[in-house]
Amino acid sequence: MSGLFGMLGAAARALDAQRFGLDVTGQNIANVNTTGYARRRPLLSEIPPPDRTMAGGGVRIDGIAQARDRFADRRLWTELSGEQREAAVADMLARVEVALGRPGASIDGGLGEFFDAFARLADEPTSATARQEVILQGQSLAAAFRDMTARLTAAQRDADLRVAGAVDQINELAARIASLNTALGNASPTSGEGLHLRDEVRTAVEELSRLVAVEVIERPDGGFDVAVGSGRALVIGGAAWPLAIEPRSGTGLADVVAHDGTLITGELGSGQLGGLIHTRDVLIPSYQAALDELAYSVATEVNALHTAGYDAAGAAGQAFFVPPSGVSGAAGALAVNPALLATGGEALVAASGDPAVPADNATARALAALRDSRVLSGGTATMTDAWSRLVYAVGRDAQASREAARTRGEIVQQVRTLQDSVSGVSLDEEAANLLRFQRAYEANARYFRAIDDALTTLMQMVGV
Amino acid sequence: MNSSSSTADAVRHLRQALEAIGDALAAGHLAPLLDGELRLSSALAEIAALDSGAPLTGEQGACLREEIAAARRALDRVQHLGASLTDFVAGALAAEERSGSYARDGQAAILAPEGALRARA
Repeated sequence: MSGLFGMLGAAARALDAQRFGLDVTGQNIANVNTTGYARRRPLLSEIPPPDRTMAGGGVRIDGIAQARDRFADRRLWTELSGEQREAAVADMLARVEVALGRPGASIDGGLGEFFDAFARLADEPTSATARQEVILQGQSLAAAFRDMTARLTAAQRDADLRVAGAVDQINELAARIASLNTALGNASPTSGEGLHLRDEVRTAVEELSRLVAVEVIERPDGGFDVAVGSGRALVIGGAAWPLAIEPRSGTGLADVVAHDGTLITGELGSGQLGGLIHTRDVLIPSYQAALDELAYSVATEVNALHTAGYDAAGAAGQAFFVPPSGVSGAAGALAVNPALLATGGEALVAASGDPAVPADNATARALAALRDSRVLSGGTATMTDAWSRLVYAVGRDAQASREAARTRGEIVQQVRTLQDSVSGVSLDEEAANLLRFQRAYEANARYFRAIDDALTTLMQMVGV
Repeated sequence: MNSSSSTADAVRHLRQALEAIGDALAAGHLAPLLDGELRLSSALAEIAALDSGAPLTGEQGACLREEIAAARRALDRVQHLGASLTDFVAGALAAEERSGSYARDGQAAILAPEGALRARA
């Protein structure tokens, strides 16, 4: 039988335990909106009786435990990386869309004005004004191509600067995680400080997952070892292995290098960094290549017709544009032949198809007709079509990224909602609800193959 | 109503059914998810009954293309959300199986996956 002091001691410990429980609850309520905070609960245990004739020694406080769902955390980090990748692509492409200009007021407008000028020259083949107008419109078109190249290059440089910025942020977060790992190694896992550190390190990993896809291994003390790319160590325990930036030979764009000197730019496919790299290294270069192909075609097709014609003096026509050295770089280098820009150069514009008849307009007509000639994409597209396809490609990529970012964002929200719905209730009950939900989805999923097939068939019908 | 506009209507109904399922999945609402089966079934039947040889004008083709692209996006979204749900349920069930009597003694269910990871280790 317990003595009076023993009973008082048990009651005092019980009061302590309840007060401690209230403190923990208060902490939970106070942090209901704190990012990264996980619900905590007091860990209490019974003090066993010293012998079987006694009821027991009351209750003891063992510490605090956190309500954490590691599975959902990992799922969340994966989805966040995907969402941020798409959002970064969509953000960069929105700039490219703006750079392309409004329909009719960009390259397409320049092409129209240029060929219109040749049509007016065909009406008045001997008019010096009409000849000057052709040269002016040619200059304006060439300047539009060069401007567009400069804008695409600026967008690429902007993405490049952001790549470097993202790498800096990744290194800062890696250092923070390493330092939190060290602190966690020295803290008691059930102390308030230890749990606070766990919240902090998870928040840091979540921030990191927005920037780059991470592989995470939880340490026994609650810290994290983190790897990026194909298993490149970024944080191991208390040590951070920062990424570095190296200028790429030829372009000067930033390449990402792991701590062992390996180039890992191509391994970073997800997160904000992955999106920026994809936009900088894949999407913008593909738009630039399409623009170069169009500029090359404009220069070579116009030059071919112009050199086959005759100028005001009956001499064979010169190249109208400076002949491009190749497709690559053609848009940035497009310029009217300097000979035509010199004083009196308008006489060198070739409008005639007959050296003996300066008033002939065959060449001017042929050049004006080039507007509707299918000279691109294997003879399937006019120059204006090719420009429209480029604009469409940018719009389609931007739209796809926005849609993907929205879907990923919904999944992030879904994981958070499911996480919240599971928290604090019986898993048996919640699992039954989840199963009902899943069964309902599976019932619909039976139709997806049929829908996919139907949409494919319909797309073939309308020639998408 | 001509055949091409009914084709676009049928695809629009399919797209709307898929979007409703996507919304239900994102919000975790069971009732609209259950309704989805009927809507999908009827939209597919509507498409199956179309005359595939009917000619399309340029404008009708563009309208239909837009609807098909939107339906494809809605299908992608539903499949992404469905995959996420399936993964989550699989994880929750695995956690429950591995954590023994956990969840029957009134503790937070959210600790179950943690228990499962410990059991696995």
